[in-house]
Amino acid sequence: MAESIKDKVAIVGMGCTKFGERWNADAKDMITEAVDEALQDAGVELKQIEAIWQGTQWGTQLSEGGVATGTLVSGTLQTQYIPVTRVENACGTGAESLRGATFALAAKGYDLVMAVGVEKVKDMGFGGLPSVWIGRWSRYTVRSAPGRGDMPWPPLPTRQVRFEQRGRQEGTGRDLGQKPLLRSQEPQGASEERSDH
Amino acid sequence: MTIEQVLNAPMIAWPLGLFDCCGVTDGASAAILCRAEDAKKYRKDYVNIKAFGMSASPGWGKERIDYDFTYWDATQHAAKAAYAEAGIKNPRKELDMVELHDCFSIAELIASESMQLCETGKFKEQMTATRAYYHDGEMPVNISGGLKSFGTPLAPAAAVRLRNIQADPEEG
Repeated sequence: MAESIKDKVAIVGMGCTKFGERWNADAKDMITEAVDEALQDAGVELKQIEAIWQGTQWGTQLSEGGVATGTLVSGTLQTQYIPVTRVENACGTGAESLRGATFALAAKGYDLVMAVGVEKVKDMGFGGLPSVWIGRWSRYTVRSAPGRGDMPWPPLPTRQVRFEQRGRQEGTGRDLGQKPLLRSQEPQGASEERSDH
Repeated sequence: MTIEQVLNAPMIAWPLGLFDCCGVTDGASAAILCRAEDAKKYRKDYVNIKAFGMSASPGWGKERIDYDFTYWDATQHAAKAAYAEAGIKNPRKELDMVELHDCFSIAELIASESMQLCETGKFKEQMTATRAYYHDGEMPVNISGGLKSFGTPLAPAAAVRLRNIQADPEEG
């Protein structure tokens, strides 16, 4: 029977770097900075830490879509064979690393653990965030996903149609000079009442 | 910064201008955790975790042209789960302070309503009435300045919010 984790786990130290355009610091510099501060804050040494959860959403230092494995942290800190689990959950990635650490403690798997989050996204070469989701996942995989055919929905328009309905050309985003489709003009049957609002 | 500067800023995606959108930033954060019964060994002013609510939506926002972006179903489910776990019955009365994901100005409104911090569609009136943007408000929201002040390095962002909470021991 599952139990609540309320008041079972505590945070005893935190560290955080300056956020911003850190052109002169790489991910490893920032991990070291944050971890040192957290260790000092808790009054513990790195060798007391028994497991680490590392949250990284984007590749960090690697090319777009590249994967930063747990060795980003274990290599930076030169930890000696303790487990490092790399987690990702979009903008909730930091919370996800804390969640992993929390549940491991609640399960009494460890006594003292660390959650680390790091992101190095200013060196991508462009503003905003990479289009990994759109380019790699949405376009090809969604409509072939099993189970979708059973949904009581009208067929989804293609990506091209969706763009054109908004007056934009797919791919370039160029304005087609049309008025975007208004909500009231949406195709018959496309709107459904929300069931759980 | 003036209201004019915000209103006259370059448009990013109508109606959101430059200052409605958070910057993408570099950064790192770290937290050290232990079981609550051991926490006193390390310090007096530790922070207990009351609950985690985590919810993954089926991603309809990216697929459905009729998706209603004025509320976040995943946030609503996650908040409900967290309130239940923490034993919070009325978040508007019981929460002392909130840090939430405000990657865009509208996101703070949507998140607040989805987290039941105010009634749906009543953000402006109710959050103004409770002085949500001030330290001395009934339930201050994002008094860190939020993502639009410190940017979003994504993974570490949640932790910096926790640190703000830690800085105020009353929030424990």
